[in-house]
Amino acid sequence: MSRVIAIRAVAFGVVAAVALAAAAPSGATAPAADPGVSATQIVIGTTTPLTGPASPGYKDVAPAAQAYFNYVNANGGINGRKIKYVVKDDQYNPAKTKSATSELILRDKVFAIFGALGTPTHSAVVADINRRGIPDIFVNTGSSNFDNPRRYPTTFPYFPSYVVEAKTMAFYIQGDAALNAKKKCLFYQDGEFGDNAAVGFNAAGMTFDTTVSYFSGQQVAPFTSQITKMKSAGCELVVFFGVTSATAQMLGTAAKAAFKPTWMITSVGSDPSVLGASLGSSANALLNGIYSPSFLVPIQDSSNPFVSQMKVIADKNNLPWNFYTYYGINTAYVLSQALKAAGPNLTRQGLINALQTKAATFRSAAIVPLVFSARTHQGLQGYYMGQYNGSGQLVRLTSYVITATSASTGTAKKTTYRALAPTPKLLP
Amino acid sequence: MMQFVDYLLGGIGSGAIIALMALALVLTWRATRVVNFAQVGQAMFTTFIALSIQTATGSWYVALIGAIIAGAILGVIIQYLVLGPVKRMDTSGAIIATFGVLIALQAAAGMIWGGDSQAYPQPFGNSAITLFGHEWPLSVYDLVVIGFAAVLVVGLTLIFTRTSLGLAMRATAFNPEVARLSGVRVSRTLTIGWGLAGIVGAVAGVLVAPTSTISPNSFDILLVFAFTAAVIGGLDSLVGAVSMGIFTGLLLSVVSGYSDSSNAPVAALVLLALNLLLKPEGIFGHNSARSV
Amino acid sequence: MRNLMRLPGARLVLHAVVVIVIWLVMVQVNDRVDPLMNYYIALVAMYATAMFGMVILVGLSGQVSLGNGALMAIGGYLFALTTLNWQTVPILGVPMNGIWAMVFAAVGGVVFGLLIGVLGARLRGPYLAGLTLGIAVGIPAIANRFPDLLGGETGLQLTVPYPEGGYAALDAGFEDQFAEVAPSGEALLPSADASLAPEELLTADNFPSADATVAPEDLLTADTFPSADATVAPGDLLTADNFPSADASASAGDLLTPDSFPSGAASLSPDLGGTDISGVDPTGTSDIDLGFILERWQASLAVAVACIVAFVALNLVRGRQGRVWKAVRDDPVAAAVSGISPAGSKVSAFVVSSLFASLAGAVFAQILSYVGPGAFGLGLSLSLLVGVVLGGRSSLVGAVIGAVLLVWLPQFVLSLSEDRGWDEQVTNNAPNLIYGLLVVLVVLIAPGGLMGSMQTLVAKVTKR
Repeated sequence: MSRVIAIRAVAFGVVAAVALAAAAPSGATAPAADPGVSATQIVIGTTTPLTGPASPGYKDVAPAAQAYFNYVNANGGINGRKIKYVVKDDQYNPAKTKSATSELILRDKVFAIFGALGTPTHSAVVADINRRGIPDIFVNTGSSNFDNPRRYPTTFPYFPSYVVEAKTMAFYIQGDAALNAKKKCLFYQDGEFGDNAAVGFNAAGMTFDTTVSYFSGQQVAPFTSQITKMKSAGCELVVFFGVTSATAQMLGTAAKAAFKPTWMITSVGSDPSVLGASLGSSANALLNGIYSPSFLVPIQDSSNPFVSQMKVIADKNNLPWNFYTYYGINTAYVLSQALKAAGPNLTRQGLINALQTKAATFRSAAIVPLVFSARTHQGLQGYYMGQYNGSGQLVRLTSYVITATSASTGTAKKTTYRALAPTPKLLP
Repeated sequence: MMQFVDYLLGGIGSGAIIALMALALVLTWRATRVVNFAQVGQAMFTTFIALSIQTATGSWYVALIGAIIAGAILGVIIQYLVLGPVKRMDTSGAIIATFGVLIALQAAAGMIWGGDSQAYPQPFGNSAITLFGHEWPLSVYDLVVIGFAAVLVVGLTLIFTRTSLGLAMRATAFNPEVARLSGVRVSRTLTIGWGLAGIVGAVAGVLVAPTSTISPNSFDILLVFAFTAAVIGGLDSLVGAVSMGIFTGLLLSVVSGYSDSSNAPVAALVLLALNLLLKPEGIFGHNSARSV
Repeated sequence: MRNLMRLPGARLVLHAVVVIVIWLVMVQVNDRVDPLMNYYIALVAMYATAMFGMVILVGLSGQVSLGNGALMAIGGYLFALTTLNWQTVPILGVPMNGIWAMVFAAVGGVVFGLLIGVLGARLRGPYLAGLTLGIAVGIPAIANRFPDLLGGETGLQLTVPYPEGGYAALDAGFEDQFAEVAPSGEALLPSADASLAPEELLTADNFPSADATVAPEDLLTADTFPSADATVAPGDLLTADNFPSADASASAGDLLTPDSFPSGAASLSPDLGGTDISGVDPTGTSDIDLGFILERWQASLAVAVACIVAFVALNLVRGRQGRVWKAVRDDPVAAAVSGISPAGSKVSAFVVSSLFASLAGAVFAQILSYVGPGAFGLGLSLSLLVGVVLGGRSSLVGAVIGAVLLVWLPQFVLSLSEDRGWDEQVTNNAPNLIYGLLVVLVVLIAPGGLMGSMQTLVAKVTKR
């Protein structure tokens, strides 16, 4: 009996010691009205997959934003404050996102969450972030769920939702008689891609002859049966809603099956540099003629001052020059402008107000309007239609942009929009 | 009907890959009675090595040979360092040990080659074969994959049935103590078993990479399907693993073709549950899978 | 002492006392630590709840399970569905949703445990591993098949049933504010044209197209980066002010200076007047001072559930049923001869472990305020096995140690690789590498888990 008790005692001792060690007080609070902001520093945080199955591509976003913040800090910061960016790896697991976000809020005392990535992951924390009134800036997802200022008053998604993208595609197809006459098929990833695409195409009154799907993670096996199904159905225009790794798999499998429809691929599914790495030498030939909506200046357009300057930041930090890096720098640039616009007395409410009232004055590589307001927190609400040429470059097809809302009704419309020039030296 | 045949043929290529991975699992199981979760990690790691060799030399064949050597070495190292010391462990302990190896291998690959998906060059033509006026969803490359699988199964079967090494391996798998008493060098046969499994896994990795991409986690889902195939095939049977692997590939293809693709993993689970319910020892199993 | 223990019910009382003492201690600890520690305690208690079941299944009954994470999903989803879809009548002002939801989760756990147990009791180790691996992958995938009910891959958000003063009320406040101004969110979504107002803000004259007008010296080039060695005073760096305002982009720069806006906390434009969300006013709301510490509530709940489960587990493990499980594990034939049904014993172990996993899943759903297939994937199932193997698989204290390890190890390996100045892809992957190697190392050094090693150590010391 005594031995058992001794073991118990030792065991509880260890548990208690570990618990106490972990309980050691950590991190001093910033002496300001809002946590995470002091006279010299702003602490912001993010959760993103740096490792794990979802990390390819996505892992480049946060380091790119970090590179931009470093550049701003080296040039004096924003209103005299340097940005401290805390990046937590959540491996795209909602449970880990919850832990990481709790640590960001309770230990790192972040002023704002910026660029949290993923729909399921962010769904697990968005209510808690909002409950605490923490600005939740530029959620990296195309899901339309987070644009809901009544429910999530502090959450601001940046890029146009998949619903908007579907409406954009439908608008373009319906406006092009030759495309519209083709036998149309839809190929989507199960889950939010498929759901959002359905909402958008339904609203636009567009129907498909055949719809096929794949499940996330299936990319490892070729999409033979899906391609076979579409081929035997005689699909002439295939609209694809999925991630880039699946696009690569789809194009490869289709080439093998000599299935050559006209492709139209979502912007998140068509990063040319990732496709190039996945498809190897045949990438440019496979990409040639593919339609893809986009909202940023084409990444290969080196004559554009946004692209060329952002590439300088990427090169300086040895970051791969791909869509994710480009996008990460771009959102960090917009956030920096918002922080600056919020004024020297930086508060959370001030940042939210700045986003809601001054978004139209923020410059960015986006060539569609940024329309945050108190009523909608969906930032970009439009696309232009592009098409890949034989050298793997996206060429803008529409001089206008196609704008739409994420609502389940209402179609897209043409809008003329001229982007603002970048600020000097790309500093906020 | 034609569509059904097309779906079937479309599944053969991935079926052969699942079969090879299942074969590797069966080899480690036969050697050490351990379900090797790290198998897909080893295959991923050696495929990255092959990709590096391919980039350096430009030869697909040199890369394949490099992967095979690396696969054998890696298998032996893991057996020697991890499974050797813990072979007295229960199933849970051994599974967790190989799971730890899997996490470490994936992290190491991420450190060395980065976390991005990379293309693996296509060595042979990958366009559909046209025959009798119909385009079959089958390429020369698929045939090569199937050929490799067939050669490996036949070769391994010959080793197991026609050589003294094979006899020793079978004896060790059946009962290590008795084998030891009969003069079999048990630890050597175990090591060879893991080396062979490493080779088979490495070949599977190099073969699957060109049809997809290679990243530290890109083979994860293969583990589930290969494990399913190996269990249904009876875990001890080489032929069982291969035939059930191909069958799993066909099933996934047909289910994805006729219904929603997200039904495919559920179909695999149903197949597994039915099999364990009706014939727990596996279609090709010899030993009793039931303990009581 | 020994004689005292022979009294009927003595063991029950002893177990109750032990559990109540632990609970009282934890309640005191809970009230004294900061919210993040509350959160960790909640996680540890949740994992411990699931791992008590793993100890019974893996340690005592000698079976293997790769699927207990999926059983947690059962509990989590049942909890979420009940709280989301079923409004109960409060009893004495206490909303009963949470309690009913826990009951449903428990019943679901028992039912699924029975199903899997009947399937699995007949199988040997690796075949059982195969079945449970299939369950670990297959059950979360069911959520994708029924997106309308189960939320698909995105998952379901739930408002956890809190005691009064919880954030449910605060949430309702948000809704009310906006309900007054915007009865229909959709109708008020501004058309893209209106919100653009291109005439006012971005006419071609003021802001010519980006391509044309940036002066070359305004471009960011590699030279703009302050070089590391040269100590250039910040004042010497090129800033917007250094550039003549002749070109359009410099005047564009004027727009962005803080002076052009009256103050940082600018009010919303008049046309939106009523929709000012300042009522939310996060400014005055410090993070932890919401009058109700969510993490503390979660920890109290998780600890209470863990203590109840621990009490049940203690009685089972140290009672007759524990001896039955061990007897079947050690020698099924001998057990059968002495009148014990080996299959029945194994099924009962599955049912108990599934019940505990399901309750843990319900607690997990409350900690996350969310359920989704990604949170209950194969990774969770394998972590449970990692925890129980590392902690010690045949001891309930080992389960607690394992639960602490599951929460603490990831923090520890992260801290080992932080701020080392390593290359980025090394820093990102180092925690996983160390974690994997540590798991292997502990299995090699302490095959019986940390608890097993401690027992051996204590045995050696006391023998001397």
